[in-house]
Amino acid sequence: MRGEFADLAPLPPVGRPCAMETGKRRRAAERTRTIGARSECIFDFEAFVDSVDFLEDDARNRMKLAGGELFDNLVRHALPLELGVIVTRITRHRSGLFLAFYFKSKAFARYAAGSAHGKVGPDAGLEVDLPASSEAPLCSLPLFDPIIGRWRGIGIHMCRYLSKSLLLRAGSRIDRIYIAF
Amino acid sequence: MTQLDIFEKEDGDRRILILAGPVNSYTYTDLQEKLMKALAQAAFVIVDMEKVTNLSSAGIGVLMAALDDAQEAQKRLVLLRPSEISKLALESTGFAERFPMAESLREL
Repeated sequence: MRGEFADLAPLPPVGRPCAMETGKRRRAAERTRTIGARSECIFDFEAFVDSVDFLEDDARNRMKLAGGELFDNLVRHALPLELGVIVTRITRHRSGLFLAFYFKSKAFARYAAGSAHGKVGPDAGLEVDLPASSEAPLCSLPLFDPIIGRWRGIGIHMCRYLSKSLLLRAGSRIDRIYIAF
Repeated sequence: MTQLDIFEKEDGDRRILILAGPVNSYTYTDLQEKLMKALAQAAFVIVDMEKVTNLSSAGIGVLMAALDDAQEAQKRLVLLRPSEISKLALESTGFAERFPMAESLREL
C-alpha cells in the first residue's frame, strides 16, 4: 500500500471489538484486499468474497449481491478515485458481519453532501446513514421508467433488503462505506 | 469464474439458454443480446440458472425487460433451477413472484 492508503493499516476494524466470552477474548476474523477501481474488477471483488473462509453461504451471497452493487456504483459514478483502488475489508464480529470499502473520491463526497440524510460525522467528515432492511421507510419498490425503457432503483433496493445497515461516510482523509449484515 | 458462459440449445419449439458464471454489470449485455434474440426466434424460452454465481441489478433488469417483452408478445419465459444466489437476488427486489420458475424441464 502507498500514499493515503498506507493510513489504513492502523484503522480499527469495522464495528465494535468482541466482548469477553467465557473468560477468553475472541478475535475478530478479518480479510482485506485492495481492488482496482475499474468496472472489470467486479470479478476481483466477487473472487475476494468467494475466498473468505469464515463466511457461510447465505452471508457470502448477501455480501456478493449488496457489495457488488455498491462496488459497481463506485466504479461507475464516483470516479476518479485517488490511487485508482478500493480497499475492501470483510470482518466478522460477535455483533455481525461487516463489509467495508475505503477510497477517496470527490464525486462521492459531493453525493454524500447532497444527501438528505447527511450529517457531520465525528471526524468532521460527512456521514450518511441510509436505513436498511426490507422494513425501512425509504424502501419503496423499484420503478419502471418508460422514458428510458428500463427499471430504476433495483440496486439500492437490493442493498437495503440484503443488509442490516448501510453507512456512507465522506471523510477529510478517506471516504468509507460500511455495510452490516 | 470470471466470465459468463451462455450455451444455447433447441428442444423442439423451445429455446434453452444455459448460463454459467456471474451475471453482473460487466456481463449482462451478453445475456441481454442472447435473450432478446432467443425471444425473437422462439415462442418459449427457458433460462437455466443453476450455475449462475451472481445476479446483479443489471442482470435482473435484463430479465425483467425480457419478461415484459415476452408477455407483451404472448410468449413464455421461464427461469429453470435458479441457484440460491439468483433466488436471493430476485427476492431482494420483490420481483421473485413475477417470474415463472421450474425445478426441472419435465415440469414444463
